[in-house]
Amino acid sequence: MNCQEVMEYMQRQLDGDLDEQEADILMAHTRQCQDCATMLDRLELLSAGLENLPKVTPSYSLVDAIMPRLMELHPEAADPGRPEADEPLPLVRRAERTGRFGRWKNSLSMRTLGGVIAAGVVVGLFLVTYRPGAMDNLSDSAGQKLVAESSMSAGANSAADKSLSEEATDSALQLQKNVEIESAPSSDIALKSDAERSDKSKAESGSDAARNFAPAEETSSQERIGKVQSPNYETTIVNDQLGAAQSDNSRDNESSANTNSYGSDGGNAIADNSIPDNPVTGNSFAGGGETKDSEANEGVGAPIAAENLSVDRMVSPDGIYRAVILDSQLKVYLIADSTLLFESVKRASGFGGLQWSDDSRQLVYETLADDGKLAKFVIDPKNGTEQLQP
Amino acid sequence: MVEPGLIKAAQAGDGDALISLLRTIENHVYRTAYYILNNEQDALDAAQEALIRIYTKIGSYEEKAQFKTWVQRIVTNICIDKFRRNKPTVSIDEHEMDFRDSQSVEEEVLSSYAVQDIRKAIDKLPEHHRAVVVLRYLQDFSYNEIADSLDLPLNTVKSYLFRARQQLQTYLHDYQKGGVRG
Repeated sequence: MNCQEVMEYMQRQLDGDLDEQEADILMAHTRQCQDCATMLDRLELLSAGLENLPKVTPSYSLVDAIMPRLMELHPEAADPGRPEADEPLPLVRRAERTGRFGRWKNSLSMRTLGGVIAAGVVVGLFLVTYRPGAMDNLSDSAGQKLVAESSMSAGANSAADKSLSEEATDSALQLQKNVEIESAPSSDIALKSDAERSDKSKAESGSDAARNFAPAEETSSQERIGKVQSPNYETTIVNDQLGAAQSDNSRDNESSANTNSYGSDGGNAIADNSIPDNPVTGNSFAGGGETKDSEANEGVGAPIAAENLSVDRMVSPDGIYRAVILDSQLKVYLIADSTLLFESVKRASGFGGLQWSDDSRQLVYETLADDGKLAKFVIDPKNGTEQLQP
Repeated sequence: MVEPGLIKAAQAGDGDALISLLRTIENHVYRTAYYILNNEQDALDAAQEALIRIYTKIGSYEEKAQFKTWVQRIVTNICIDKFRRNKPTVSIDEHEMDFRDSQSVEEEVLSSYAVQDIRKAIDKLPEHHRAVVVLRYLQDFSYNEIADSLDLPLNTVKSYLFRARQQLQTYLHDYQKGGVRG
């Protein structure tokens, strides 16, 4: 074996890639060949140096730094059956409806609700800038989304579901006669919805959604409407769902059958109806082909947990700051360069009534203090401070 | 090792899981970028871009590949493609070396190479050779894992790694002797 061939053995030796026999051949050669022995020493020295290179870490958290940008992006393969992936508005609401916000239900003041409503309006305005011309559908879509979620999450509560869909059906039938109804408040109602109010708001927003759909019935082209409203996927979903329920009811009033399917099977109805009917979603979820089909068939149960992004966001009126709730912390970023300006302590009870002042200098939120009382904090993003308001 | 359940949850649309996933890999991503680019600021930029790409592309990850090689493929591609500097590197192919030429029989007393010297030497390698070395030593990847990450045949990986080590050894030996090349 010549030195050139031994060179490869040396290299593989460094990677622990030699078997016993090969190692013996190498050692036998280096015992006789001083050049190769020296080279092996040097390579081992080099390899040791490379192995001991400092395991550097970034000087700051890269994930935190890119968080504001991530908030504006969405995983391409996200299942289109989870509409919030492309829709920031419902996120604010969901966080308040679920989990840690549950205990707010008895202490929510009108003040808080006002704040939440205002927040909804701000986010709604934010959305409009992205989808000019879709304004007409925005408020309704929020309400509709709530219906979908509420009915899914309350799937076990058949009584509630029944009343919900009966009310929705009744309202739809009524409203078919009276199409001219202001629909905007539905999103506000939706925003209020904590657990306690969900029944009421479900019914209200449900009727609102149905109301929205009444004209569609008249044009007898639900699918077309759905496509027109895309890429607002959740609108499409709920339209299909409600459309189906409503048309059944108006046809023959088999309300009991319909109520059941509306409640517990609502998720399946969503998946089955909306996904094939809505080719437009392909645009907003390019590349997600693989997961679509399987998720579409999974129905209600599984996606509920998985879909909870629990990431809330809110841009200041002047568009300079973005508030993000993550891991029970409220963070305020400078949008321009993603600088973290403010980071709150972890608040298990969450952040309610998030609201920017009109001049964008203050962000107000409410949370439950340790004594269980509602506490209001004012964040000054410029100084990165917050103050408890009496 | 990234927990498979976390990857699955992230792929299924769990935003928290996806963020957690990014946090578990950010140091690895940064480390590769740092040693390929040899510059902290470039590495921070490249690593952030890689994390964003991972965030948006998580759905395209398929289990037949290892997650870590998929991640490293993304970061090395970004480093090589987007941050390719114009600085000419010595082509190892043009510079075909017989290791015996650079090897003097003199007995130097050497305990270790300085980290700075090693980094400087790595920076002289052509990009793919550099990437192979970084994955081998900073990510502790096997030949096969490197091949998967860089989409190179196994033999090419070995060839790059072996040549890179020869080259590094030559550079470092020269530094030791007084920086003839450095």
